[in-house]
Amino acid sequence: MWFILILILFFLSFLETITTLPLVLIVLLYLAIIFKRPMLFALAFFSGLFLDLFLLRILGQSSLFFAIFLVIVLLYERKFEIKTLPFVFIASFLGALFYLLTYGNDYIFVQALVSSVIAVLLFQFVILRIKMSS
Amino acid sequence: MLALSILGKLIWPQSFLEKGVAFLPKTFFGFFQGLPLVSEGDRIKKLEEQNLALISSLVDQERLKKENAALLSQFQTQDVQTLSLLPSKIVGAPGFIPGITTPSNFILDKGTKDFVTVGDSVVVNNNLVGKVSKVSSHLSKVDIVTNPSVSFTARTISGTIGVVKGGGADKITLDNVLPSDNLKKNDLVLTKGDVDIDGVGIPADLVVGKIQSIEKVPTNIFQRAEVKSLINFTKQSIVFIVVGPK
Repeated sequence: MWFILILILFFLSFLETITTLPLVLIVLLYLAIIFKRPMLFALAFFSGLFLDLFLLRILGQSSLFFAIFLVIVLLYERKFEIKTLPFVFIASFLGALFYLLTYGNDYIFVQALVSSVIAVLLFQFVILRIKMSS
Repeated sequence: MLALSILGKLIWPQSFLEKGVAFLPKTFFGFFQGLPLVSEGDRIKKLEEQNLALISSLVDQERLKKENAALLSQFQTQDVQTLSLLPSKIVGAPGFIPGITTPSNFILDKGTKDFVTVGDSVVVNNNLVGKVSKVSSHLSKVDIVTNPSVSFTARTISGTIGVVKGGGADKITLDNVLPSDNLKKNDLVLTKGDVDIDGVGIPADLVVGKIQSIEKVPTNIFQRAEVKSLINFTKQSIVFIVVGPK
C-alpha cells in the first residue's frame, strides 16, 4: 500500500514539471485526512525533496512547506471533524494558495480553486469507494 | 537540510542525485510533448519555423545595413559577434494547463558542467526566449521573457528605446518610452544588449516580439506598448543557451 503511495507521489513530482498545480500537496492532504500516520511526514519530506530537485528550488524548501501544512491539518483534527467536504475544500484551497504565492505563479486564485476542486473530487471518489465496498 | 542548502553545503549530494534522476523528467517531458493533443500539426510547425526564419533574416538585414553605414562613415565598426550556442533540451515547463498556458520558466538539461551561468540568455533562431536565473550542476532554470522577474533594455526596429518587462501570463510590455518617441504597431522589438565583460548577459539584436498595442496617455511621463513574442513557448522542446567565452 505504502509502496503504491510512494510511486504515486513520485509520479506527481514529475507531473509538477509540466503543471504548476500543487498535485503533491493535494495528495498529501488527502493522505493526512484518511490515514493520519507519522509515516506521512517521511513521504512529505521525500516528495518535497524530489520536487526541489526537479524544479531547481532550494533543497528542503518544499519539504518544509509540506511538513508545516500537514502539522496544521493534523492540529485541526483535534478540534474539528476533518473528514468532511468543506474541510477538504478549505484546507486544499488555502494550502494551494499559500503554495502558489510562495513559488510565484500566474493565475494563483484560479489555480487554488482548481486544486481544491480536484481535492474534493478525489475525496468524494474515495468516500464512494469505501461506501461501495462496505 | 534547508539551512545547509542555503549555505551551499549540499552541492555535491545535489549534483549526485541530479545525475541519477535527471533523465526521468527528460523522458517524461518528451513523452508529454509527443501526446497527440499536445503535439501540433507538421504544417503549422513548418509555417511557424518559416516565420521565425524570415524575421531572423529581416533583423540580420537591418544589422548589416547598420554595419555597412558604420563602416562607410569610418567612425565605428560594429563587430558582428558570432554567438556560441549550446543546444539544450527542455526537461520541465511548469504552466497552469500543460501545453496551453505559457509556462513562466523552463528547466533545461544543461548546467554548470556545461559552463552555463546565471544571466546567460536563451534563444531560438534569432528570438529571445529568456534568461538563465538558476543553475545547478546538471540543470538550469530559465525565466521566460513573459516572467515578471525579467527586465532589460530594448529598442524597436525604428530605433525607439525602452525597457522590456515581463508581465506574467503571456504578457510583455515595452515601458519607459519617451512620449516624443514614435512607436508603431507591428514594429519589431529587439534587445539592446547588456553583455558584461565576462560575456554574460543578453546580446544585442535578438527579437523580443512584435508591438501589438500602444498606450499613450498625455498625462503620463512615459508611453508603453504591449509586445507579443513570436515564439510559441508551449511547443518548444529544444532551445539554445548563449554561452559567453569561458
